[in-house]
Amino acid sequence: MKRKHITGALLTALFAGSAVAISAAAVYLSALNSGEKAIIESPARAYAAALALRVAKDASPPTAQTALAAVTQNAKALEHISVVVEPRSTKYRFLRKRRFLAANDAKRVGAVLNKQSPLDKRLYDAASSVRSAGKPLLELRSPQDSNLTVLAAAPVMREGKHYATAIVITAPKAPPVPAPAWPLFACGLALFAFALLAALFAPRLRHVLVLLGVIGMSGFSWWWTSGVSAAYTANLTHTLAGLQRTLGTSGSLDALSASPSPWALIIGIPLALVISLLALFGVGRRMAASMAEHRLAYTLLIPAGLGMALLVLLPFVYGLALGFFNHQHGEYNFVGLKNFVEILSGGDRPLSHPLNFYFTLGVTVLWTAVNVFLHVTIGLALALVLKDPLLRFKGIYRALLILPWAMPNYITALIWKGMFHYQYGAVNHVLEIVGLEKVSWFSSFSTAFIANVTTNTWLGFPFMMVVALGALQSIPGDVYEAAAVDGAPRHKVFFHITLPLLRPALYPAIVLGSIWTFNMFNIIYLVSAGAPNGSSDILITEAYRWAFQRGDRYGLAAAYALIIFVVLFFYSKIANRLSRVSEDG
Amino acid sequence: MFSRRLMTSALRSLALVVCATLWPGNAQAEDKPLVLWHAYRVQERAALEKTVDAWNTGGRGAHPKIKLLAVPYDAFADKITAATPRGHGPDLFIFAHDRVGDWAESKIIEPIEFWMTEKHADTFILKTIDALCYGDSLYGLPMAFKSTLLFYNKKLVPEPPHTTDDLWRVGQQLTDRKAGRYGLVYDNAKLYFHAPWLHGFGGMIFDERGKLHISSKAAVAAMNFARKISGPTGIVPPESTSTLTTTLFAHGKVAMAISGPWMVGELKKDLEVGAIPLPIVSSTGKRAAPFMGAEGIMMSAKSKRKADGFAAMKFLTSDKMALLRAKAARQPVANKAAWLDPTVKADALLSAFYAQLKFAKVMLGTPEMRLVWSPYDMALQKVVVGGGPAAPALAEAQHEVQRFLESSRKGKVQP
Amino acid sequence: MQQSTKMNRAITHLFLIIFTGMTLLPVALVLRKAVSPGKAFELTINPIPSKVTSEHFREVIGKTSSDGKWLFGRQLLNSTLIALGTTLLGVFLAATAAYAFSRFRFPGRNGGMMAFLVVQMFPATLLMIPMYVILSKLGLLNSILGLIFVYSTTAIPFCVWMLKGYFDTIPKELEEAALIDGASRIRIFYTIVLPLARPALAVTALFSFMTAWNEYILAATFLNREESYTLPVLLNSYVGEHGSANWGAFAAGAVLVSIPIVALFYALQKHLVSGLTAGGVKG
Repeated sequence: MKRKHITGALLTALFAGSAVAISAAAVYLSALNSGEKAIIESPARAYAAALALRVAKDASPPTAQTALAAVTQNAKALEHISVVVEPRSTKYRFLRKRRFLAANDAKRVGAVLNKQSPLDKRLYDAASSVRSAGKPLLELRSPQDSNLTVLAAAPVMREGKHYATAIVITAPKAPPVPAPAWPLFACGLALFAFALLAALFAPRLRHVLVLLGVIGMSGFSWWWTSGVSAAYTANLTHTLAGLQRTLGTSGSLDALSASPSPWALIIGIPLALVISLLALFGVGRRMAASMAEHRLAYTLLIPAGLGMALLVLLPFVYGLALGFFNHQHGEYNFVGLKNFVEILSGGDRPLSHPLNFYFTLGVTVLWTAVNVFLHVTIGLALALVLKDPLLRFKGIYRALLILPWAMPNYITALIWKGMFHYQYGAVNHVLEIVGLEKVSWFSSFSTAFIANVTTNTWLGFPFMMVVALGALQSIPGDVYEAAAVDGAPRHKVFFHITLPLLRPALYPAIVLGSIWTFNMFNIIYLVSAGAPNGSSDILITEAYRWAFQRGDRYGLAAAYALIIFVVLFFYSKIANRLSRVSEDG
Repeated sequence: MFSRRLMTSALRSLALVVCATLWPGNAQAEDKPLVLWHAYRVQERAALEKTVDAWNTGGRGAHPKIKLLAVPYDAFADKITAATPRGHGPDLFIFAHDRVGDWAESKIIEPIEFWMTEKHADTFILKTIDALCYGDSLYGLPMAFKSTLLFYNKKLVPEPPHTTDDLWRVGQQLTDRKAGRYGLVYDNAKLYFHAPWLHGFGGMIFDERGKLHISSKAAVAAMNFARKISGPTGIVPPESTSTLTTTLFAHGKVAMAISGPWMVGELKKDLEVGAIPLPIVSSTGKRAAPFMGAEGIMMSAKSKRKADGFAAMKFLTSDKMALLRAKAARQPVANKAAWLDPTVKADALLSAFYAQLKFAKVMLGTPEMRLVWSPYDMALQKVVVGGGPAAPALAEAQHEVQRFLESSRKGKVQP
Repeated sequence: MQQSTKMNRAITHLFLIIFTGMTLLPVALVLRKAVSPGKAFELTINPIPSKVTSEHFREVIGKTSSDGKWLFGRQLLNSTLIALGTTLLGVFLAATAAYAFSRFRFPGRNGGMMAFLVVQMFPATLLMIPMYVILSKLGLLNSILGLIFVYSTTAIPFCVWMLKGYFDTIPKELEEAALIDGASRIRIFYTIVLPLARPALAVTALFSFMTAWNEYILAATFLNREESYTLPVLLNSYVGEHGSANWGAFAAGAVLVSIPIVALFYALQKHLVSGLTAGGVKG
């Protein structure tokens, strides 16, 4: 009895703990990606940024003198502040000679930038960015190679022309580590400890202790979240106020409000909380009991489950989330359902247009159905023929027949494409010998589709044959003997005995086979390449084109993937139901 | 029982050993080499290795050595995009310039003009430097340039065509559909290979201000020409692709091909190949101008030793090393000085590339340009392969690209 | 009776020969390219080469890195280690999980099985970046072990479902009898269930092996040293821009790469058709 409690509590704790740890890991990863956009660390630096902006914003001609004055005034407070002049090379638009007009290091005034110095490289690049943007920049992102952060850079004008650039740069400590990881891990640990305590020392008081633990944990999270966000808000307000004071009312402050760190907190902690609360209250007790009861089963599942969670589930969640973002040059912006609307509305294209989602979906479903049907039929038929123990050379036939599966399909797909060539292809050659008209395979949808299906059937049947060969072994021989005694005709034996008995072993191959075919990229891409006019493309090749050929729209591609996922999910639900009927029946 | 325990412990220690050997080591030498990724094959690879050897064995001075990694071409760009932002990328890499815009915007590559001087820039052919510019910055030093040419089989074509009228006439003479022989082969459903006609008829993709000009009279004329030569009475075999181009030309089935330096390596040595710049478009009097691409050596924005990296880039693209590459790999190198060398001058193929360069248009390396390929290819599919009317197909392509442009960013187009 | 059986066999053989012949035509074309001189792709329907050369095989096998290391050998070793590692790990993980799904009724069973299936539905192309991040966090980039983990988790869903389906057909009575005799569940699993499931294990082993053996894009992205590349990466290094390639070497490599698979299958197939019940079937 007691042992059961302990196991139960242990498992609960493990579950809750790992839920928290996983979400923490997810948050941590997301924060890592955005961690480069650091929060402005101190108001002093923000003022420096404001100063540089003012140099440029001053209504009365912001001259080199203003900049110089600013530099001298602030020389002590700041690590580096420089004004760089840049006469342009007439020959190459990218070439500019740059020298210091002003700097807080007095020795450098008038000197040319030093090509060996990383600091000078940074100054130079900041000046370039300002020049091409044509406006002041608050560049809060620092490259990872150096910890030189440009706080702000602004153009200095003379006679209405870009004359120099004022740059404030700092060499702060290492870039800030994204915060939200350890508290979440701590929460997980705390939960674990509480559940353990509860189980070990006071089975009766368990509920109270667990409740206390949860209250404590949520309290702690709340405190931590509010603490951090308060600090963040305070910092931001302070900075904004400082900027506004120096700039007047209007300033381009977009860069400051874009820090995504609070997002991580807003999503991460409640998620962890909800999961652990659910684990403890709603399902926790039942689960603890059943976990104790079925601990062998769960133990057996843990290794595979862990691997899947880490290397498949996590990327999968990432992929799901990506569908709600828009990607542009390495940055992601949340766009809500826009991607899905764009796809599901057909993108303003008529239903018969090959780029319309529903058209592609139809093609994909047809493609999958035809392929899987052919794979299974051919594979099963061959397996039935090749299992005959008295057949000679069956081992050799079998080994030869898996070659299409064994050979890298990049080259065999291209061979097939060659075989379907109008003028030089083997297929048309055979048609001519038989006395038929040559077919231009890739000029109409139906023939291109047939070419794709032929290639994929060729590639896919060996797998089904192997699976069917294995599956056929699960049928006891005496079943056939009984049937033979009854004198049942062959087709009846097949449809009434063999097929139903094969079902449990064939079912996974069919379901997974259809999933793979649904997402079969290589063949479509290499054989028909969507010809004609993209009509033989399937959803996955469409998604690929969005991701890699139409402007790196990873978000839209992910949305496609998510839709593919939903379609397949419902398909497998239905298939599952069908199989359960057969399992029970 | 005992033996089982023994076995478990033996297994455990074995597992430890295996783990220890398979897990990547953390120990790293102090003087880590600069890592350079490239996708070169065969002679180009060998030539690059030679130049890197020259650096490693003395040319480097006090700078670190270079370590090369050959990455398969079709995995290259994705690998750069995945590895570099996460700090696992190379210090330097060599690739075509067509993604410079994207990589610059995503801060994957480093602007290098800081280390440049006018004198240094002057050593390169201007067009190749232009290709590697994006915005007001330079993102790489050019290694070589690539463009298409008109290749011809000397046995079948004694007098290569210099105008499109000639091309048509010669092509007609050489075409024998029944025997599977044709006058000309090129990947006619791809904008990259169609570009010579587009430019030769006076068309363009973007104008200097970044405005889109896909749908234009000149573009229609170019497409109609491509449709004529690819049509049922034309001189180009059906369903031509890049692979087919090489195959048919290599086996002497087709006498002329529009292709690039990549084809040369695949041809047998006994095939007598001539190469000349693409012909003059007879109806406009303009040269058919292919896209010119530059292969540049670029620096990762995440590299920790940028000054060292630049020194290595400079060395590998120096006149001396370029000449070595031009001689050993017959690479159309980007250095002006290499083209003055008598051996290079005597090389007919290289000279043809150099001659073509004058009539080649620098391909844009902007993110906007990358949106053009796919819709334009589809228009070519419809018209040149499918035989449909050109104007509506081009109008649709223009519309599509416009849509992509709008959905990908509000406005900003690089000139 | 005898006569008609013979007749049937002859027909079966005829059918099999024709079918196998048709199936093998593309393979034969690859083989033809592998042994005929020239790098260019060939468009032909004649699988018999006019001229035979071993230059492509010699090129692929003899390939060395810039500092003179023999690449083919190392890459073959990498591929083998990765594929075998994936097979062992994948089949082990899958077998335990499948046994749990097949023999126990526990809360979350259906959900769990669904989860194993569902994760296959998300196109892999988009999962590369997050996988890359995770592997780099684990310090497993550029390592054989990392690829083994990735491949075995990709192979697990199919293996679990396949084995579960097969375990379902093994009568429970055998195990129940052993349980009564006092054997532990784990012991039963290893001594009774697994040997009975040999055909399904053979299928899943072959599948896991193939998953790892032929994969290219992840290997090319995750590995950062030429000596640690796998064979498919070597193979694809013969392909360049605009579809240009040394097709001769590619074909030779493709032939070399598929030989171990066919050999493995040949070795495995006696398990595939010799479950304990196989002896009972007599023509």
